Amino acid sequence: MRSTFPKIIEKIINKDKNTVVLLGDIGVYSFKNIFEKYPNQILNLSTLEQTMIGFAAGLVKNNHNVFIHSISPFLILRALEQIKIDFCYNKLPINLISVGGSFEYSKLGSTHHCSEDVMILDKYGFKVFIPKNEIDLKKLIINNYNKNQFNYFRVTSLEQFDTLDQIIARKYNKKKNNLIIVGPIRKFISDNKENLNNFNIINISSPCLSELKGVHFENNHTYIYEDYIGTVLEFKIRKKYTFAKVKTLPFNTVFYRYYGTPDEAYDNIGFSKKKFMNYLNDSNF
Amino acid sequence: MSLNHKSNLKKIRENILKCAFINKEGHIGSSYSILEILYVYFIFFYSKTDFFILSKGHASIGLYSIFFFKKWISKEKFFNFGAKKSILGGHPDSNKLKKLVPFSTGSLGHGLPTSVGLSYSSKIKNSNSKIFVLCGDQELLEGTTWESLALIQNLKLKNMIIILDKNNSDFRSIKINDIKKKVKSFDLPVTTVNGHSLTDLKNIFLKIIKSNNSHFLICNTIKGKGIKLMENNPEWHHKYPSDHNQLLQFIRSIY
Repeated sequence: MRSTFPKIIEKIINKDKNTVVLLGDIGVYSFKNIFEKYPNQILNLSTLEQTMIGFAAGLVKNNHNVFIHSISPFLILRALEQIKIDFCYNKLPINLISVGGSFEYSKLGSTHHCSEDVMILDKYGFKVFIPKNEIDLKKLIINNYNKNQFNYFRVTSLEQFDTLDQIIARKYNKKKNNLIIVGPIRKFISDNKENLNNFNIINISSPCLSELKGVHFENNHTYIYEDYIGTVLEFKIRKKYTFAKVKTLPFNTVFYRYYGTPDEAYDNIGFSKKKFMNYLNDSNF
Repeated sequence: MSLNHKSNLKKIRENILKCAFINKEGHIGSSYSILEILYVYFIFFYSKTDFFILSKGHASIGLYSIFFFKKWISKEKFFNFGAKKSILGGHPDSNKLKKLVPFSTGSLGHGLPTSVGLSYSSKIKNSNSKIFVLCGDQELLEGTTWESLALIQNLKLKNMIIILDKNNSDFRSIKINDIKKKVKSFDLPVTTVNGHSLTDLKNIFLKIIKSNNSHFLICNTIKGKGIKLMENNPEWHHKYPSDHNQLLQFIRSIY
């Protein structure tokens, strides 16, 4: 997915000369076409995260559409006050695109982790998009980038598994429990494919209620898998459907103090093939 | 509008004092130190196609007093400063003052990066807009200041006028020494001026604007300038007259 979005941006810039892209010295090579063709419309501002945000606000103020890209701890956490004040308080729309959310950079240690981003930006009024795959990413960016809103695209750099497509495509069954997965299907979920036939699987790209049309909460148990802390979607469901039996599978880790692969990290924080099914089999609400 | 600038400024200082007293809010000292700068800019050099950002947003009452003087806001609105539904708050809000305030400030270190973004945008749009940004000296401690100067240098921006209100409010904190030398290292022309001399300010503004280059203007000012008791007195950073008698005493002492 990470290699796809520069191509999407290039298509946008080809049509929309008002678009500017700011990079935090990440993925620079992938954007080389844009650097060559539109040198005024793409800048690598390196590690000036806080100034990059303010700079972007100045561009937006003068009517540009702006994309900012870096890895999530630097883009979101390091420059959080700037995001809050320069965009949200000033009501200036922006497109933030991150990679490396939560523990995707597990081998690099805690300085390169960020599991708080979705929760915080959701509260600030951002439309948060967690694309499921490349097609989804393209659709989400094209449909939202110039809609005068705060957009956050949380792009995974890990492998996506689309193995549940057939289960997902089945007709909704009110008698079955719900498993809502926000964002890409992770390996430990995909590995459980044969165990998920008794669930309605709803795979969405954004933790918001508009993605849950047709989903019933009255007589079902609803399990939510979100790849970040904060029970963002559960909070919204409970607010609207006070009777709902809903719980978010426990993603509570901010400091992950080990290295290893992302799969090992997920396992370590409680998400392996077995542990995942244990959560789904727990009907204690 | 009277051309007696000294008398105008006395009146504006009086308005600031009254407004702060009525509403129990206002950074008077910080507003007084930049008043001549604001006056010269808005009376002689203001243009709708330019941008002026008050990065040291806590001096808002100074900015509003100029808007009031120019009749851009009503007396009623000016003296409603800081009230619940007022459009004028302790820090300027661009959502409430859309045409007069391009960018909301208040947290130091935000105005300059945004100004650089505006500057770059104007450059790539081939626009003649100039971007004026007024910063405080303690604000220079924010890292974004130096990141912004690096950007101005790298992007070769020629339309930025950064004005520093050097009122020595950093006297009891760590300081940025040799500001002129440091700023010059970013290939930015630097000038120092008496920030309370209307003539000197007017002349340097003219020179800078004609130069068609970015500029860093260090204005030597006095915090609380205009009332002896307030001058360089940190007690009056965020304080207003305690009662009517003190208000009248201050008004009489404005020079």
